[in-house]
Amino acid sequence: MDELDHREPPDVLSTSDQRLDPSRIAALYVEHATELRRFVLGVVRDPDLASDVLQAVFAKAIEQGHHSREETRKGWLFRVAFHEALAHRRRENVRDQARRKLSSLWTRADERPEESLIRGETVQAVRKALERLPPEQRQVVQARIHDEKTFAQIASELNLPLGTVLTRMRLAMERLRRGLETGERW
Amino acid sequence: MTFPARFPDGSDLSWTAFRYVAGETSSAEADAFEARLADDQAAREAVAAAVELSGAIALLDPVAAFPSRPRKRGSRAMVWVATGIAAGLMLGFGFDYLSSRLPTTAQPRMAEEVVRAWSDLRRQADDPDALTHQLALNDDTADLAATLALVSDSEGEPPSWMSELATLPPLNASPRSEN
Repeated sequence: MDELDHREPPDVLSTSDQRLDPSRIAALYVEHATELRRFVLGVVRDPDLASDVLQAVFAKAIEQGHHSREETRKGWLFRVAFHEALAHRRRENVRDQARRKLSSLWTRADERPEESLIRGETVQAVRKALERLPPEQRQVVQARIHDEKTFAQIASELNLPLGTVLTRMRLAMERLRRGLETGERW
Repeated sequence: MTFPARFPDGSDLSWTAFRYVAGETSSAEADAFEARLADDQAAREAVAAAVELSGAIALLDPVAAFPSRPRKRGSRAMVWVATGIAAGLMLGFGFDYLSSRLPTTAQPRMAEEVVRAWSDLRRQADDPDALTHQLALNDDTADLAATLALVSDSEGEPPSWMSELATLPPLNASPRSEN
């Protein structure tokens, strides 16, 4: 692991070996696990593998987290997560460039209750933002994410240039993101 | 959480992150983006946000979230619906009223009106928003298929039966003397 910061003493007294206190590890998990898991999912595209990666990340945090500074700890966690994700992907021999069921990336049986709550709010915010999309953009979003069609397939079926389809999707995603940002609570 | 800013080179980080998550990047693009993920926290957060957004969309009830029926380019369903209404009016009150009160010389003009109305309907059919709205109201796919067959045969002209209808005398009108 590169770029480990050894300059600062740990900000919380640890129980042994200058490691981070378990309560601090737990606090880090509560604060960052959801976003970390989403990031790892985006890299490995497998919910089970993502769970394994997340476990490895916090095992590393226990072992080496005290080497990072509080203000850079989030970045440190994400960096560890990225390297762990790549390592797990190589071990699983998975480098899948094919489409993934995007809905499957986000479901998780052992999700914490507060994560479920956030997801419900997010879904509702996205639904409202979708209602405001122009029909042609909503059509492409539906075809790509719900119907699991590639952009090339969508362009062929709609008899549109691929660039037009990509533009509509891009504009739609930008609008949905803005809708999510204005409607969400973090 | 706000969505991350753009790449320093001006490209759209969020869009690239979505394409990466969706598997819509080439191998070279994916490699380049992953090289960025090693050091760029904004890129990592963009990936997390892309997973969240696309997952939220995927979890929506498709019937509720996407109420407009998908349509193919060139569909003419609304033409049929509006044409049916127009034909009904012509067969019923409107045609009967006008024809009984107009001199026979006005009947060829009626045919012109039919052609003009047909053209207006075709223009409306080319309006995607209006057509999509109309399709959302039309639940009968069998009628839709028949409609498409009818209009696709028209080649821009109203059906012959409609044009001929405009030249027929009204059924209930009083006999008029031909002058």
